[in-house]
Amino acid sequence: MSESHHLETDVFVIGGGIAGIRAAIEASRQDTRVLLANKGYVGQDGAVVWMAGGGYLAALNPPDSVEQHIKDTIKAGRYLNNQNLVQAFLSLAPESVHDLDRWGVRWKKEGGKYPQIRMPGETHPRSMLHSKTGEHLGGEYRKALPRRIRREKNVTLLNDMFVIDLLRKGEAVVGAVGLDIKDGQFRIIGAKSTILATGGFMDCFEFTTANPTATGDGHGIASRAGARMIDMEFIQFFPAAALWPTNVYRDAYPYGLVYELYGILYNRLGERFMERYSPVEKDFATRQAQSRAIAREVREGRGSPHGGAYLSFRHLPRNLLDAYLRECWDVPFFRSLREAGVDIREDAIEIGPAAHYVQGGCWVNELCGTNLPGLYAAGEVGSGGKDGADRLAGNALPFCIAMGYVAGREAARRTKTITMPRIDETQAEAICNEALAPLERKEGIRPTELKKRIRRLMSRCMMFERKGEDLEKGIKELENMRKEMLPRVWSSAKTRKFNLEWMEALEVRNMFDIAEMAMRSALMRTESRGLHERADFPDEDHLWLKHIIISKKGNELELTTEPVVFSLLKPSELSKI
Amino acid sequence: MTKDDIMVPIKVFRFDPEVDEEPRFETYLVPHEGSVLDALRYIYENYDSSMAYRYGCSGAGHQRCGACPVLVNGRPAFSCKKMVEGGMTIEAHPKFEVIRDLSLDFDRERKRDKKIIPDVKITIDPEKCDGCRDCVFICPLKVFEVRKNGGKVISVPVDIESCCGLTCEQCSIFCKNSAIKIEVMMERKT
Repeated sequence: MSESHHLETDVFVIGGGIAGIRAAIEASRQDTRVLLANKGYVGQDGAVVWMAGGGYLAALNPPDSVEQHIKDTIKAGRYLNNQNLVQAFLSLAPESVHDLDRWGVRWKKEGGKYPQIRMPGETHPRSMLHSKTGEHLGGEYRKALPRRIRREKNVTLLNDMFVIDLLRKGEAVVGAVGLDIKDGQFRIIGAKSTILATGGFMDCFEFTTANPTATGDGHGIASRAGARMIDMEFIQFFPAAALWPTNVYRDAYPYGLVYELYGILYNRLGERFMERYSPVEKDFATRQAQSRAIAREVREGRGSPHGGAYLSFRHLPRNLLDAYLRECWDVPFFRSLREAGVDIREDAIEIGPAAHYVQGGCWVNELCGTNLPGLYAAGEVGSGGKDGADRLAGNALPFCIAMGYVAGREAARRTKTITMPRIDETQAEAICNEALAPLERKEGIRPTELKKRIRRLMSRCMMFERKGEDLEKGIKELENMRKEMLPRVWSSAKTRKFNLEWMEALEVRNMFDIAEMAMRSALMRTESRGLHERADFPDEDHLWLKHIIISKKGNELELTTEPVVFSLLKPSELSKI
Repeated sequence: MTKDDIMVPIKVFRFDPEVDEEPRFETYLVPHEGSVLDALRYIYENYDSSMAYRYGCSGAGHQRCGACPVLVNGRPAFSCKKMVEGGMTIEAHPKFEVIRDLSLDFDRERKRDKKIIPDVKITIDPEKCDGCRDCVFICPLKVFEVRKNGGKVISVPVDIESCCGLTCEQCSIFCKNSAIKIEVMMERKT
């Protein structure tokens, strides 16, 4: 093994997004030393949240209440939510708004109050607004949180640090092995508590609204270390990410336009196809219904040239559109359209469904602890089944902030009760050697090729109208790939400094683990509920009011179920199933 | 009208400070479609896997992450935002240290001399500023915000304390309208 560097800390946070930064701030406030590792430069790449649009739910203005927020969340989640988690974290949402306000997020304020709007699924207006119309809130988080974390004296940022695997001592997690992408050297990090905040695995799909860095590394390393995973079959798709013009490719902005400007969707034949799928709501159907309809049009050969649907505003009077565009003239999306020479008053843009959010992740309790002592999880990777079968739009970020706060507090509390654990050097060396293998191979398969295959497979089997036989075939294909190709993955570039191919080879391993967990859970759940749609089991089945839990036993995955506990609300109290 | 099959040459900066004495430029044929970042990815996948470049959101969040600054034909640009054209020259951005090729070392806090924090003054010409947010994106230390000022949206430096002063000057370089001016008033000891 080449020379490596040892680092020691009280709390080790993996992931520099909104949950990770919140956790680091909280742990630092409790006077513990914190290391925060991020795959890119903190505040730039490595976090998806900076791209967030609107949507931050907090029950601030009566008659709205936290109880109603919880009810709406559980209703959207088709009663599959872990109700204790929903209650524990959503009750922190109103306070988090004030925290973010103090740190420099510019919410819209009027007379000391925060005006809110209503998004689909909410009983009362509950969604926070940016002080400037048409502006994304993601930019505010990107500005406020990295700036705040740099002020914390106890926090050291490890930029460009890719965490390969967790270090164990018996059951407990005692740190991790990271790869510093900048110089290609390993860092062995010993920690009293470790917090996972790595986000989702949207990059396992061909078309996504997230960064290409969202490969779900946290899901991979946690499951390899023996953490129990939950709800891996629920993956959310965003109906309207731009496919064309090319300079707005993957931008999620058009979704807002569907609502704000009453955009209409057309297929290649010029049909208003949403009329066929949802005769009542038409173009304003739920996200899932829209996504499914577009996907089916494309599959049946009626898609637009870039594989989606047309979104048009031509039915609106020109002076009305002019007035709207004058208001939003400097929004980057419209700037880019102008640069591309596309005039939305005349031309349609092309949109398509993109992977947006994953609801599966580590099993966690109300204190964000996983089943492994010393390992905490927050945000997307710390699922715990909080989102149920479908996430209420706008709930992701309040959950991230609340979980980051709780995880940071609990992780710091743990450090006061234990002494610094000793690292098992042979274990660390084994991890490093395994990570070095792709670099040392003389020939093999390039990771980009494998990534493409996994994305194709996941897009085929795991999007809409999942079928049992497809999933079975998909799992077999994945197993074959894992047996034949994964041991041969190599980095044809041999330098250790900033070697993207080496990093991708390490990411692919996590993507294999995730694809297997997701597909096997989807095969096991023989019903349709929320985001999980089985063409061969189209109905909701009340016997399936349970979570699928995955734990790794040796090299095998063990799938078990755990019934949902209705500690607050029973399904019958909300509506008849 | 699709430009799928048309290939165009671009010149790309290649440099490994450990091995090479001098940076060199290599010419590659890339599809005449998509952004400069797509072209770099194409080079990485098809010609040379040792090509090093940075990407963050890759355009997904509308160039909001600021991770991919390069010089295109001598002008600063984000590679995910700039559309590829034949004959382009793509260089590493000059203000950060090159790790390899186009990948930059943004980790300036490590190199910054903690003892001397320059006292800087940032002025923004409200006539020239058109509120494009490039400075908000590019500043690694998040000094700027865009605010409404008298019916016009302009950039405002709200956190000058964080500014690294002399070492960076990203905002003034990046501003396409040359609206930002940075002056170092004096060197202040802390």
